[in-house]
Amino acid sequence: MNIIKGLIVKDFQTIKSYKSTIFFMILLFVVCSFLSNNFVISLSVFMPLLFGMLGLSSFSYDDLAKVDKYVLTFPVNKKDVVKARYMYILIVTLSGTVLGLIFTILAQGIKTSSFFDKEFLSSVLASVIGSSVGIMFIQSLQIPIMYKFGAEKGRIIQMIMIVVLMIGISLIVTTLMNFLGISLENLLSMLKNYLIVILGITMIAMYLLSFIISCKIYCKKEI
Amino acid sequence: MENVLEVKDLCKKYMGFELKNVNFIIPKGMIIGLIGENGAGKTTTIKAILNIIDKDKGQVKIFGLDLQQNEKKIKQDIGVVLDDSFLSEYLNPKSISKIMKNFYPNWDEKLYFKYLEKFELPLDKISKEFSSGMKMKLKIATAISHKPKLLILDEPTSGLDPVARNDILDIFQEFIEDGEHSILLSSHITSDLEHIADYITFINNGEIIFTKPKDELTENFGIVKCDENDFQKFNKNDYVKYKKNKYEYDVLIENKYEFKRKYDISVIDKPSIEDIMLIYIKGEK
Repeated sequence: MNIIKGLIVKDFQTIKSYKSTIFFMILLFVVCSFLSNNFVISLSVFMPLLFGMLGLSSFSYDDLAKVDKYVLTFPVNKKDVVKARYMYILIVTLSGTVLGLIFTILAQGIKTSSFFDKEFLSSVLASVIGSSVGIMFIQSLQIPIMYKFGAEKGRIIQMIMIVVLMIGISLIVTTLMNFLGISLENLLSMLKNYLIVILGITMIAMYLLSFIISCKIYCKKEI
Repeated sequence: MENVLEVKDLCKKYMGFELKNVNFIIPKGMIIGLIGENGAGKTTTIKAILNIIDKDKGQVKIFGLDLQQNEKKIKQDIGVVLDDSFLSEYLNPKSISKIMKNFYPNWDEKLYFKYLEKFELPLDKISKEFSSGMKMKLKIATAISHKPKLLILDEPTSGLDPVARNDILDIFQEFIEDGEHSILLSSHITSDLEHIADYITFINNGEIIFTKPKDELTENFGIVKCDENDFQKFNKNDYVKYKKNKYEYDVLIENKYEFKRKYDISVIDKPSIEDIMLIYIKGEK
């Protein structure tokens, strides 16, 4: 476990060296969001996205100093390296989820003097979770691509893949709905009560599948 | 003598390059210099020894154990310095210690800070702001602070000025002083190895040409400089290789004393390791 901890500490120590830039970026983002009329959307949706991207940037930092090769001289194996990277990205993304929630509630509280409005809370929770699931979906696609092609090349391939996937999924879903004669509203209301559970299970399954694929890619990769 | 490292029939094939049946050993307490020109296979050999790349064939035994089966255990007692790879340059030496102590149960923070002080490295400055010599010293301090039994270094002196190189060679001498530690050091700067190596392993085009005690190379090998007439008198089996220059021949001899007796030659030059390497690579037979 110490080895996994060491690998996660390595990523956190590396990102810590950019702490003033990151802090300034978050501060600017929070202040701008607070001043805008759409602060709920800005904070609750974009905060998890921002942190999710921050987690993924660990690939670029490692590429810069060719850290991978050096790390493999430690008493670690390639599977440990992949496992620790997924855990690190998950921790950073979930921190964004929690911070997004806190900042949005604080902003609402300061603006309206009411911190715990039930309806408001449930809508914030839905948008924070929705955005976190969204970024985790992207991550589960992007991490194996990063392992396969490296941080720079991986980013371009990932963008192409997301566009293709979005178009593909929407085409399949629309065709399927037309075929079954269901409208989008109907579908959503049917799924409403189970949406969180479905999203949760899908996310865990995607993350696990992504982890298995990344392990296979990285174990075969010539560093 | 106990062997710290044994490499047997190591093979690895890439597009356009191949390691062919690499064999060599490191006896305990010795410094082995792995020499060869750029692209000869030094780094690939080191990467295969450390299991960073998969080998096609062969066996690597370290501390008497098979690397494949005991990788984590073995690596706890190895310190590594790589030429082009380290932790992020945006980390300072203090953060590096926070990371490294998780990987090595023997990590000695006090020793690490002692080395940093000795090498005059600032604790709070990021390594991006260090000179090349300072960066290398930081890599070495990091590699030896968990008290490894074997230190593996890939080109640790390339790109450094003579003073920094000398400092680093002193560190290695100190490291093996007690006879319990060993070093595998790859370099194309052969003069560095002349100072500190006990054995020289010469690799060319992915093949080990020889492994010999350094003293044997510098004492027994010789270079005969002669004209074409004299050269024609030499039996092919009595020299290793020759290099034809504009006006003379440089002939590399493996046993200069025997050669002297046989051909009645009075002057045979003492070659440097670089001379030997050059004639092996560029010479003909």
